[in-house]
Amino acid sequence: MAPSIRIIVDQRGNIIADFHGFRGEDCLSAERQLRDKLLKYGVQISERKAILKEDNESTEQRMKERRSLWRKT
Amino acid sequence: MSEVAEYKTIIQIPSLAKRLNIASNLLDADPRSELLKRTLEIVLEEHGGTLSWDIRDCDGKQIPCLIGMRPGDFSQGIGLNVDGSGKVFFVYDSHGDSQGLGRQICEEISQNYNTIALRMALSEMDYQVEIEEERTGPYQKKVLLTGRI
Repeated sequence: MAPSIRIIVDQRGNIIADFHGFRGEDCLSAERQLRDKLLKYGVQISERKAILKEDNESTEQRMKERRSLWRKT
Repeated sequence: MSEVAEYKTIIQIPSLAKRLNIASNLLDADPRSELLKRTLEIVLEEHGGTLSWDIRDCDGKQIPCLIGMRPGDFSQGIGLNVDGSGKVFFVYDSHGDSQGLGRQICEEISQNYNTIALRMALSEMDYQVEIEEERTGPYQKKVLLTGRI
């Protein structure tokens, strides 16, 4: 899945950004980059809340790794 | 991995911090000042009215501001000033504004400014940007930006 960023700006100007389909921790650097660019354009973030989500692919990968580790032991 | 981030924001333009009353000359080399002016023009397209460099209080007293607007439906005006760090704040007289229209227009300015800044930021990050707007009330909308590589 190609990475995408979906952003909602509510009627008060609050921003909710969903960084979706990134490999590994690339979503974190994309978010950092977005914050830096926003600052350049005069948008200072006064409050930030962020939640990390494991997507299905990485969860499956982790299950496989656990199974193979189980077999080895 | 995915991430969902929520931000509350303020507009901050440090280059405007030293400019307390600049008459009709807000536009300068800083593109953020132009962005701010463009934002006010977008809000005025919906409400009608003109840009201004002062507002009036409920007694008709003139109050200067860095830049402001006189919307057709809020004729005393909404002003924008900056503090010493460049933080932009709004000035208006809320006396008699029982509907909270002044506050609502300030929020519209913030929303439009953030939307333009996000579009420019995503484009600079090499994303193709699509923008959709959903009306949620009179002069109120929710904006959805989607950036794809």
